[in-house]
Amino acid sequence: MSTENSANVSRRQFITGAATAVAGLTVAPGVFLLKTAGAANGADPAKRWGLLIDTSKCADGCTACVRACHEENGVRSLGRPKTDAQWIRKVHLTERETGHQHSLPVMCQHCEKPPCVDVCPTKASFIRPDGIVLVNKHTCIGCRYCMMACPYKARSFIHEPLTDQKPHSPRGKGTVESCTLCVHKVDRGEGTTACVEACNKDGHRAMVFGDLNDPSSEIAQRLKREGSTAVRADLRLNPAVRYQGI
Amino acid sequence: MRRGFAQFGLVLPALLLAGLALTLTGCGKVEPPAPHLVLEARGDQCVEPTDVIRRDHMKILMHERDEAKIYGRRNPNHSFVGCVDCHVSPTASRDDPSTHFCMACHQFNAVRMDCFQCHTDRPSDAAPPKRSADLEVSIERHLALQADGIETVQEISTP
Repeated sequence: MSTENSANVSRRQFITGAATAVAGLTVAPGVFLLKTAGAANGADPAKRWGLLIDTSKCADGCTACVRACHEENGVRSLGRPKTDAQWIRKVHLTERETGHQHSLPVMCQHCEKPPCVDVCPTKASFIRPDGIVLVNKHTCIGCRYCMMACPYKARSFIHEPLTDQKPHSPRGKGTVESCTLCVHKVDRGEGTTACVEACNKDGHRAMVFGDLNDPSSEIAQRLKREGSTAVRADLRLNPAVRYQGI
Repeated sequence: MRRGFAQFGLVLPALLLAGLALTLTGCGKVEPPAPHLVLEARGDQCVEPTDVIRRDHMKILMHERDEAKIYGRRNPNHSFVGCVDCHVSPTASRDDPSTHFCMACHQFNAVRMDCFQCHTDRPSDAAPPKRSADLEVSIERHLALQADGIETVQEISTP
């Protein structure tokens, strides 16, 4: 009996051992791949990147952020302004009663509940774990539903073949694109965007980039202390781009 | 005469066989890039063994692109920009595929790829091709047209 048992055990051990060895062999490359590719870097789901824009500091006629964004991402005019891509634009507001004017930059608002993601038939429009809303151009079919769905008109469609794109910013005909919150800079850990850098460089300091979920970040502290306005807050999209002074 | 004919009869099948063998070799062969392309590129050692990367580079790129795009998990060894930076000569042009590391081989093997419809076909440190007054003028015009009220957002209601 005991010998039978021990034989059984040893057979079981042999089989389990063999199975483990095989599993180790087959899983190891995959696990290794994920570890090198993923664990160390990648979008952190604990973070939510956002922008705070103080319109009282945003100078009328200044287009430093627009220029910086478009240069950073290789967006340029094809001479047809009605279809040229706009990742960020300056909007001028006039209050009807008082005539008070101010101007502010408007770009993709990186909503927590983005309508562009809801309507995308191929899931090409998606929200990253760290809250950045992007278009996966590998799967975008250019249907432009997202452009219709976006209440901020933040997205542009590329109508013509492009050349000389930036290495970090692939762009091409037949796909939709918008502000990426300089995701290449975020992934490099620079903690800033081209528009914010340009605004600071010009001395206006109207824009702050940071992690909304980090209570110690400048943007979170200012939002808590001073408050802010979400454009079209009635839609309850909870945008990550917030404004002051509108 | 009879002997000559026998010789001819042997030579013909031999020629046919040789031709067939050559054709088959040509079918399965991946043409390596021209030596001048390799010399101009910076990379002396690829991230994977040459036979692996020749056979599977498309699988590697396809497999990891969603990880990179959707989750931001980038593997610097298997980055598309990394391939171009290392292998493509700074003077290569997509207009002349024979000068371009990727396109030369793809053209020879008649495999169409879409990568360069969106991704840049030039290494990061290559001099920008049309970085001149033309571009400055076009940016200025773009911004001027935006400032002239081309933008359609007129008012933002703030409840």
